[in-house]
Amino acid sequence: MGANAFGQNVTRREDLRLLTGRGSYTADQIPPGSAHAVMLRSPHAHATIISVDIDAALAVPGVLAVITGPDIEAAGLGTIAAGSPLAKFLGTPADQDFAFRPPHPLLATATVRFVGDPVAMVVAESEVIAIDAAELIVIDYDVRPGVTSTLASSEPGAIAVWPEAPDNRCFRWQAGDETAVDAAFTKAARVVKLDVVNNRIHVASMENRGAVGFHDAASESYTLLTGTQMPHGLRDELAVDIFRIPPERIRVRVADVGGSFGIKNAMYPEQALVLFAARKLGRPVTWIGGRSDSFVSDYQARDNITTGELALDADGHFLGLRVRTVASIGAYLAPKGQLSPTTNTPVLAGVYRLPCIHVAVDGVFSNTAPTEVYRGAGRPESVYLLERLVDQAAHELGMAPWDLRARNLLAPDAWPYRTALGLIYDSGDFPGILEAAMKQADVAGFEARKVVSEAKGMLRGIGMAQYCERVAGSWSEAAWMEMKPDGRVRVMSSAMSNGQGHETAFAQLVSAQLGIDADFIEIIQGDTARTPFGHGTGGSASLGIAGAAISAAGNTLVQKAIPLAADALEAAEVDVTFAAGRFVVAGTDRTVGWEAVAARMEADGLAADGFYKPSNPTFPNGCHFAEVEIDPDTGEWRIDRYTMVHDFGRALNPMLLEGQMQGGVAQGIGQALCERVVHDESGQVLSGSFMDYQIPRADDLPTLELIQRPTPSPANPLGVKGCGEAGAAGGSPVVMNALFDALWRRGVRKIDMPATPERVWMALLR
Amino acid sequence: MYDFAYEKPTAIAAALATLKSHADSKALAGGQTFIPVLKQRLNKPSVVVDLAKLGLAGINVTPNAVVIGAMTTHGAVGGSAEVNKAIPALAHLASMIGDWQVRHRGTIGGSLANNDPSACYPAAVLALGATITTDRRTILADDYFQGMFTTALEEGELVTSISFPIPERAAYMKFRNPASRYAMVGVFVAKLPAGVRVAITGASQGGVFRHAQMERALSANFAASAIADVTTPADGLNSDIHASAEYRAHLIGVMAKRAVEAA
Repeated sequence: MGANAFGQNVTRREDLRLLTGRGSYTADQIPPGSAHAVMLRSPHAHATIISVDIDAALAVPGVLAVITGPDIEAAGLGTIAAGSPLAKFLGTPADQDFAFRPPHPLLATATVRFVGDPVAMVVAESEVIAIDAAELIVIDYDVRPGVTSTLASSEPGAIAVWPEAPDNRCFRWQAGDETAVDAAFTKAARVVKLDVVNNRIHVASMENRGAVGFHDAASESYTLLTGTQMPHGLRDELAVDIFRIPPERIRVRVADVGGSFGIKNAMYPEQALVLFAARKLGRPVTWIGGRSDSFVSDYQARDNITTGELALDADGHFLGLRVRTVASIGAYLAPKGQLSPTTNTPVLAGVYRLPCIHVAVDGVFSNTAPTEVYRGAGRPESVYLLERLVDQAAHELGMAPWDLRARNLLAPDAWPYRTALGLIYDSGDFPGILEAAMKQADVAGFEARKVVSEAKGMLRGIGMAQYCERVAGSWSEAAWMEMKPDGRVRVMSSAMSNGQGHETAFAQLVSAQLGIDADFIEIIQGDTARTPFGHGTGGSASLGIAGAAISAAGNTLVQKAIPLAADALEAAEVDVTFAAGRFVVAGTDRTVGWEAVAARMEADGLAADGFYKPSNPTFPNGCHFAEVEIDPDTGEWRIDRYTMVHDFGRALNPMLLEGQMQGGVAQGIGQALCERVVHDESGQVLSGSFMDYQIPRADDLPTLELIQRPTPSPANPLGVKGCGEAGAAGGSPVVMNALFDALWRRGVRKIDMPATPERVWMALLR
Repeated sequence: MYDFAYEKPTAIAAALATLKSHADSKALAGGQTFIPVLKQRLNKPSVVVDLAKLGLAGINVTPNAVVIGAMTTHGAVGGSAEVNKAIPALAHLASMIGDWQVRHRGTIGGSLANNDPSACYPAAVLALGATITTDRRTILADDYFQGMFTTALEEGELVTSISFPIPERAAYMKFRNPASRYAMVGVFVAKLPAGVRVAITGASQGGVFRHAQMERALSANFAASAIADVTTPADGLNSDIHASAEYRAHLIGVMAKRAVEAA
């Protein structure tokens, strides 16, 4: 058990399979006899469909069906959910609601609204036949002008994506105390203002999307095999929104998932269409998207234009924060499309004593792919704005960024602390984290390193970002546990790994709790038939919520085992306790292990379930420091040092945690360095392949040094906080702050993400 | 990709005959551009003639020249001790093309026949004043490159080898497109007995070109300082989401100076 104790670096049991090409993803599980589907998508950003001629495609030998929007309407299928309810916080008007929630059909019927909008699905005996046939579909489009820029779509006179929303407004949302903020700004000695662009991201999961649909006519039930984070949510959406049948008639199965980061969270048209096609054809139907499908039709992310204003008193104390954001929704409001710019904005409070905050967000439509949650889902956007604004303030005040922060940090003696947007901070040591981070980053040695850089003709900058997330508090989760007479334990969880390592982490958790070797613990996930309900993976919550539910199931299993252990010990049940993997007669040295319990089980063993509903979110927090070197001749820059100190509460497996940080930081750096979706004026996607859409490569990334400085979370029994998204929150602002620090000394006053070499060169030119 | 016939002849005459006898036939060298094009259904050849068995791979270094067979991979050139000794800049260039996979499939002949405006090899061929030998003739570098994706090759004409004169000094500096890692601006500088030649790839709408002003300045004085004040007009340079024409014009100067310093 020692090797699997809480806090040990257990290697990932998934890795042999995943790293040697033996993972089994959706595309590896195409059933015999499956038909194959391809999607025909709009090549235009905005057009009216005059006619769709599918006759030539249907005539191709081997073509089984061509499904268009009218077929879906005629079959009485519903539409994809247009968003979910707007969050309400302090200061959110009670009657605040969407201005317009557009219908989101599985296939466009009258109008296409972004390049990639699906128009038809062709199903054939093979994928090649389907592609051949799709080329023969003739669609007569009346091409209309569109709008793709977030700023342009929000301006008066912009082309309307939806006639029902002539100003392109999907919602206007606000939170916080506007009056108090106005008053704070009135009395402020200094106001610092910053405009930032949070660039549109194509998430680029390694595994493209895919779906296999099955239909059983006898039971009138469906099975969908697909990559998703949330099998149960997908099942319910398919049942309620699309097929209008009881959820128990849909089973969602999930194989290995090659990355999601939010994009395989909400439903996509293809997931419903393969089920519909399977029903129509009486055989399984497979759709495996290609990389080109991904680039135009995966939900995209971020894409905000934000103005932040920070009011300070004469001593540099923060008095108030005002935030105005225009958030791109895309052409349709995706199922969680409103979440990132609204629900997670309370993270704007950061690590500071910030007496009042007011945030107002306009969600606007444009002729672009819908936006969805992406690693952090609004928290990285809020952290980016706040931490760049604080650095901007430090530069304008002539203060060191760490000194300005130190002056405003909340200290542990403030807990519980109610932030201006209503969160209740319960743990953490922000000043201690800052102090440790400054030491680890060797802030004192920066000036000397700058001299060395300058001797090489390079500019050098240092930046920091300190933040506090809010995760793992929004839903409940259940778990089911069985022990068989052979002593093997099976754990079923509704959380769904997309690469995070649930099999390893959950087995380690149970092993540590029950004292059973992890090799005897099987982790089952990704099948709604085996786990009747659940939420799924998201929001850095798998350990804090799903893990806590598993732990609760483990406790129940122990309670159910005690009578058997008591029998083995020939003791009264009330005298038997469980500790360190053994059942003990209290006050004696008489113990038995699980083998004694197993030997006394009925044939079907013991079963236990567990449930956990958090009472408060957790607050993972940390401080990142980075130093960058810029080549002023070319604008190229690289990250030379990157250090972080983190408080993720108790760490179950520090190695997995570090892996999560590396991935998150890489995505944060990617957004700062290079990633952006670009459209031309007609709405065509100019970044439609990896030839033009740059994700960071290994050699773009520095060595990432991580130190943990945990304070246990009081919000869950495991004391964990959640580390899945924190890296993405810290990665973008810290490197941009470091870059800006170097540029500031050369007179540059504005730089946005992604800070491409050209942009840095242009900034230095002016 | 669309269906096509595939042939892998063992003699040049047979390859030429097949290419000639079929309309829309295409030759396949390393396939690092052509196969993605096929996969995207951007080309619909009748026959694909694979050149791999024609015996066109190999490197021969003489006292005056490095002769490289058309089907020699970038990996072979980059890893060749002889090339590294005779023209290190050429080996360096080859070793920086694409990634490992591309370098072990992609060939010099394929690159030159395609003449991608962002390819690296055209810069070396033009700057070194190489000679391109085909199945029927030899073509001087100055005559070979005729604009983006356009060369002096006739329909069905196959490159068989390239002969590079050995320079006194040479270097290649590439500013990589940050996404594709093709040359966004690549500058090959070569000091030859007849003078200095400077070829720029990646930057111009017309593909690889010689920089006459830099050549004059460097022929007079082969030092970075000699071209410090040479500017390149942005007219005619590529402009895309990664770099404006003005930025490319600027990078030509920076990369040229670095190449001279490295030569």
